[in-house]
Amino acid sequence: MWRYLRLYLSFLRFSFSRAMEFRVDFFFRVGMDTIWYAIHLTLFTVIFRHTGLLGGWDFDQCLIFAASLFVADAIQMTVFSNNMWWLPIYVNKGDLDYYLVRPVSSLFFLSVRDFAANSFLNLVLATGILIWALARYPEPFAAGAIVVFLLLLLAGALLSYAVQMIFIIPVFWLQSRAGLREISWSFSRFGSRPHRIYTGWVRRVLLSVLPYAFIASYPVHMLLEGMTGMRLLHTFAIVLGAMTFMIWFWGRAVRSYASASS
Amino acid sequence: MGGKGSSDLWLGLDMHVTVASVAMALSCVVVASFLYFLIDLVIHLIAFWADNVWSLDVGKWFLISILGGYMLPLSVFPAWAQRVLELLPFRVFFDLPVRVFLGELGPLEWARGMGLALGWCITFAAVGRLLWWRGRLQYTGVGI
Repeated sequence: MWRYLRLYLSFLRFSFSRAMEFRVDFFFRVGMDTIWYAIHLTLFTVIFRHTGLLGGWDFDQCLIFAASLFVADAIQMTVFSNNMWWLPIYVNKGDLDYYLVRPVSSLFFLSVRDFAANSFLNLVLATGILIWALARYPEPFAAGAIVVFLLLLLAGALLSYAVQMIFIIPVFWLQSRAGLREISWSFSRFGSRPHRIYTGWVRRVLLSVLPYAFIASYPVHMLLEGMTGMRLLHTFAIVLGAMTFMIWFWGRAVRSYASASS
Repeated sequence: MGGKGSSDLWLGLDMHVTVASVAMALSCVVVASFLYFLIDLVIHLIAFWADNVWSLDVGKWFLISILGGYMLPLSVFPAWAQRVLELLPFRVFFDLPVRVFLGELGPLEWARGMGLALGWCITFAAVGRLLWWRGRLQYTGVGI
């Protein structure tokens, strides 16, 4: 455990020093994510000019949802995103050998090696927006509920990583440019809206096999409408299920990997 | 949809599609494609000075999607914002061709939108030419 922690601290040092070498790109990326935040806030502001409720939530509640989405996304972008971008390239070029022979878990190494320092700045910004959205909400939240809610957002970011990996891992067999990543990106748009705007089987799918609702919408739903044991258990089962399946899938993929030198 | 006339109800939608509206919408798509290329050109020419312009490319799509009418019809924005959006280069990508196709905008509005889009094409082409000229002056080849 300590070995992994020391290794991760080394990753952090290396990532920050590299980010400072490419400063223009660093600020471009910060700007890109800031535009994304502005667009979402604009979207909800404009929608609420024409309606009082969206998926059962008013403007203040949708603001908490949008801010939660920013935080979960920023965590995912900071910790995992760059690594998931490079993974298909390593597989297709046969460069994975270098990582498979390391004396640590290959999944850990390949998932968190590149810490996105620029997105970390966006995480700070997103956290600020979330604090602002929670503070301006008319009804105060209990401290315990906020703590659990933040843990749920962390779980949401982890779930987002697991689901994306499940779509990328097929690259081991497909040798396509990025596995099924584009499909995953298309599906992920469902997670950027309150899940209760969907009805019937679409909502059921978002709460089970394609669990994008758990990234931000369901945690906000629990914060606003009660963290019952059943809801927490549902979330825990989904995150654990996705992570377990992803780890198993990774094992299968690595076993079928044909390296460049084999 | 009628071959030459208008159709008030097509697939349950209230719209007025004519041969002229289809032709005007298609011309918007052609100009939009050209403008998209020119915006892309300018963004990628910035690579002479920046190490990576991928994030600018993504940012461009974010702007087009909200300010061009992809995420929301521009008609739901406040009136003051609509007046500003009409002057920006993004409207020709979604809002203008769709509304012209549906018969919501007539030839005059179409001509005005196309004129603005062509103006933006000229602007981006000029900026691209300038960046290409300046970029080549400061480019350092490897092994040359």
